[in-house]
Amino acid sequence: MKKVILISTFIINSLVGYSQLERKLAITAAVAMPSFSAAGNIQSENIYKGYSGLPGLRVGLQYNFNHNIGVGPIVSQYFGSKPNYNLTMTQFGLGVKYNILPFDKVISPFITAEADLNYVTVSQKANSVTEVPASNSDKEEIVLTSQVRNYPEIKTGFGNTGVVLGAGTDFTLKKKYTLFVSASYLVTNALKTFTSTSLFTENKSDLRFLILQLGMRFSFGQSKSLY
Amino acid sequence: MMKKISYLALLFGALAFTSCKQTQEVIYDPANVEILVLNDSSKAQSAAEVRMYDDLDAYSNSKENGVYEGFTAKATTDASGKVTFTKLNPDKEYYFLVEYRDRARFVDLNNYDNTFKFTKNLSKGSNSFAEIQLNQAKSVVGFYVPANMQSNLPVKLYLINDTSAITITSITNGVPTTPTQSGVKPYRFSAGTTNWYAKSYKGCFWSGQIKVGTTESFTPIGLSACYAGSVGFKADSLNKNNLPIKVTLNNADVIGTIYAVAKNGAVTFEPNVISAARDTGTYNYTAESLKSNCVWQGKVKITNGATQVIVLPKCN
Repeated sequence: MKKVILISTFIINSLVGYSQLERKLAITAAVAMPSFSAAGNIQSENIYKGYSGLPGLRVGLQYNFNHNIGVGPIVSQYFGSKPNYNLTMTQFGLGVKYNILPFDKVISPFITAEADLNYVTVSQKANSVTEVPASNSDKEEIVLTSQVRNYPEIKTGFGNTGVVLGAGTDFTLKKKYTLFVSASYLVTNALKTFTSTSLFTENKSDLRFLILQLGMRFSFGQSKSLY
Repeated sequence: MMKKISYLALLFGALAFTSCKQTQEVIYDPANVEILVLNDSSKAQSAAEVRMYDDLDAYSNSKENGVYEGFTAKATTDASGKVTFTKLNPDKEYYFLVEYRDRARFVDLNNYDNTFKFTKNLSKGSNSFAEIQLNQAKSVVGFYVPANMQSNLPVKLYLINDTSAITITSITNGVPTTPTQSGVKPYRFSAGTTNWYAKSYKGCFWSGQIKVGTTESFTPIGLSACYAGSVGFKADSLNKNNLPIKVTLNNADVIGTIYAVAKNGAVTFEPNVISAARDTGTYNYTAESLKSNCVWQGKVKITNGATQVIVLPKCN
């Protein structure tokens, strides 16, 4: 994971270099609210679902090639909790943003795409829960009326990859200050990682959730217009 | 400015990386299942035998052929119709064979066709609570007394290892084709082999063996020619280490195998007394231990209307 940090630092510092070339550079910060889908009846099958999201943070740099396209690194942190479980997710991503109208318009809708390296922690407290499995249409199966599942304590953290696709709108308040809102959807391969499959053997859920963002962008340096 | 951002990013990630002491090994409680057995009226059924298998072939063999082996555990339901199996392996699939003999209705109940698998939802560290529904066995055997044996009525019919009896009080004309025909006493049997015997108030004896499968069938068994008397063989605790013991009459007439010590005072056709009804005469018997080299030989005289039990002497 040290490599991830070093690579991120490299990217950030590289873009600092670009800003010195008087290209248009912006820094963004946003409050991001993750929204997880509801979990099913069985906890162990829904390790990545059913969390109540807490406001997270996304900080990024953006280098604008022109008035429509920008790229840059993004670091994000999300939190989620549900009874007996806590989940955190740290993202190191490289994003592309395309403004449908030039971003210096007062209102400028955009779409984004982002590739990420993630580090996820899951904390499961030891607990017992009475659960009722979904009714079974297979008449050959015994009829389960209830199940008391005893879950042991598990604390783990592991890396995975993901992508974020989203859309939103920029509202340019002043020349250097832009407010933006967006909705994005995160998809990861956490379900298929070795740590996840070996510790949460019954899990069927994937780590994917909706992200609603409200943020501010500050542009500095002189834009070298391509027009 | 940018350095500060870099440091912030580093701090940001480091918090998440170091905040969790990782679990190396997850230790689960054992998985258990408590089963409530319901009879064909969906009421809790006590005294039902529940066998648990973790091998489909062994289960199928037991079900289809009535073979009493291959199960990993067995238990009998308590007064509330429940039974518990412990330490199940969540990586395995389990099969349950439940049978109950309702002696009041002369009906065997089983779960051959439904609620016999536990192949889903078995998870580590879980206590599962489940129900198994029993249904009436599909194979019907109809015992009847033909017209030419009317003078022997009433006839009492017993199943080996059972004490309850079916009493046949009237004849049946011809060979019955349905269990509801006049005079026929129907018995629904689960798959496998069942030994039976019958005796009339005049001292006539009948005995036989029924083998049925799992499919719907009707088998008429007429109590026609009867035997004059009966004989039984049993082992006491002195021969416990020689069990099982196979018993044969006149070198070729195998009447059965003793698998367990019979209780004191047990008479012919009672549990663990290997018995047979035969015509009057003197028979040579051979009892041969299938475990040791012990062999018992002797003569037994069957007389009209009489029954006797031979206790095999201690084998040295």
